[in-house]
Amino acid sequence: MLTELERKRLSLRVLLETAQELSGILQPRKIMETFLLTAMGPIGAMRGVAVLARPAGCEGMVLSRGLPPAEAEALEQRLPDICDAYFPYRDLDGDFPSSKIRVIRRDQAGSDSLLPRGMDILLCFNVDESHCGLLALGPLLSADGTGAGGELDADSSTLLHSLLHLLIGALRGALAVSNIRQLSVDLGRKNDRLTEALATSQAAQRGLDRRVHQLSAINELAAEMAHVHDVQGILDGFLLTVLGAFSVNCGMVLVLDRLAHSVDLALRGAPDTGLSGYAAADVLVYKAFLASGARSVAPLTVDSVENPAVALAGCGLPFEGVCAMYFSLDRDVQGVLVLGETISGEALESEDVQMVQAQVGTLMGYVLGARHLATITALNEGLKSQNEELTRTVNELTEARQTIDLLERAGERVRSFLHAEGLRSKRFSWLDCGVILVAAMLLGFLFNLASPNGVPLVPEHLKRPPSQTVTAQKARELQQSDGALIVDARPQAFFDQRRVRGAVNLTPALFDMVYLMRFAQVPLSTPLIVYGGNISRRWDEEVATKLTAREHERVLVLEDGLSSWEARGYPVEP
Amino acid sequence: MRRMLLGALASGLLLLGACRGPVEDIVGDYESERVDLSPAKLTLRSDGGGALTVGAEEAPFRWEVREEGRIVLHTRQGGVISALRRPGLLELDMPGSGKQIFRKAGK
Repeated sequence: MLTELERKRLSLRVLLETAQELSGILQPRKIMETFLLTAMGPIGAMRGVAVLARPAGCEGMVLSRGLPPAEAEALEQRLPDICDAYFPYRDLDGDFPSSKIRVIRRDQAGSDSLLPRGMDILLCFNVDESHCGLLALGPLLSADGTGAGGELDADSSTLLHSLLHLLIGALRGALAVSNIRQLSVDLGRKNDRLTEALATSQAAQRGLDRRVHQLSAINELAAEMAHVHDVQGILDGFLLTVLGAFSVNCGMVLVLDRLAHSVDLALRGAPDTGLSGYAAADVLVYKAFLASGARSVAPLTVDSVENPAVALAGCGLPFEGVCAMYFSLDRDVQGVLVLGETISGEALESEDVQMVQAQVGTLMGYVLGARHLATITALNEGLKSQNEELTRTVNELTEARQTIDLLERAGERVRSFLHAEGLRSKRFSWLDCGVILVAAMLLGFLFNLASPNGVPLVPEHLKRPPSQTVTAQKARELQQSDGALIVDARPQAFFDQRRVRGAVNLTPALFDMVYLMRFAQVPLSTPLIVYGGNISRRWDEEVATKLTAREHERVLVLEDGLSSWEARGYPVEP
Repeated sequence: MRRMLLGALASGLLLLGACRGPVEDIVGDYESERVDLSPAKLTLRSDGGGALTVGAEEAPFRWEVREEGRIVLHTRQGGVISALRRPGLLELDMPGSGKQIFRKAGK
């Protein structure tokens, strides 16, 4: 018989060894197997069954020792029933009593036929909130080793409870490790998924940034296009914006007007190789049309050109086209957009191509608007010129109408005047004659006053004292005896026609100058005989007066002038 | 009408400019070559006035250039005397006293 001390020492050794055995094991199945093998010996059980289950899911493991294989396999199949029979806690929302070991008497078990016969030691225990365990042992070896030895004594029961606590601790640790590993694996998987999601998110962010940049550029383009009204300016602005928005090195866009036979071309990043010419532009547009999906020239359509590097080869493009669009405004106006490589060398994504296609559609709107504006402006100019011409015509008509009215009124007045004068001419009176005569006299009087050669109203000789006269005979005697000088006072024309031989011409008009040149040296005592005059002009009297005023002592006027001289037969000339 | 007036004005100005040279050449004092006469001087001023001075007496007149080489003197009484201009002298056709030669002073 073992002493009490030895029994305790043996129990402690069993516990120590069991603890050592279980301490390095992390798999619950291995723990259960080791525990079952370790516990059966000290307890003295011939067969044992250990169950670890999750009652909530009716799953777990059933391990046995000492049972025939068929019975052990059948026992594993009855795990759900075992859970229903021995783990009634599963309906309590997992509120398991922690670490509590419950000893169940075999006759208290709900389903006695679930476990093999002879296994009278049943202990239920909780591992954690979700796992429960069942340990069934028996029959026990008798003291003499023949079996069916009866019930556990107190020491064995204590040992069994201690072993169960070790088992529960080991299982908890293993389950925790398993949970941690599972959590680690789950975390790793989630981390991988998060990494993938992050990469996807970053790619999407880059795409969104690019889209935002493109849309911002297009928005700026829209604001800029609002102030551009010519097709060339629109093409230049559009191409610049598209190249910047899609980071493209070079590109070109042209609009071909077959009706006006004109080309509008915008080209950036490459030299013009003649595409501004109509023929080259026509070939390019035609090839782009063939390579696009368009089968007819539908107005306001945009089609992507398939494989533009091949389709547009030989068209004179100064660069290799990577992306191209064919667009049509109407039957007569089509265009092509060709973009070269991107700055990064990467190909444009399908979303980029769709965006380019959408923007070409917007470009068509701008170009169409500019063309319509040009048409409207031309029509307005035409209307303005027509309006001005109409206004001018209306003004001319108005003036003509006024002139006609004026002429009609004047004609009416003239007719009425002529009619009145006609009537009046029949009533011509002496009063009219008198008026005309008086008017003529008045005009003549005024003219005579204004004229330097006018005739004085009162003859000058009537106002002067009469000069001393001499007859022709006496004059002849004075000429011959006293050397009298004969003065012809008539104008030179009369003097040149006929004059007294030896006479000197001295007219009143030239008196001052001729006197100084001709008579200044004549002695004042020399007799001077003056002739020349008619009814209205007495030049002889005037000259005689002037000579007298110059203090000549004997100034005589020839009576009856030249006629009396000639009548006497005295000499004359020429 | 306006063009004709402007043309006539321009022609008149040109003619005036063309005549300005000869008129300034004519202006000056001329002396008679007659020796039987007191010193006789004919003065032509640039303002169109002039005077014949014989001794202490003076006969004023106005003068103008008619055609090439001809000068007309107008007396105050309305008489007209024609003169022919030659280099350095004037030849006056004076009724009653024949042609009178006046040489330009200082020549």
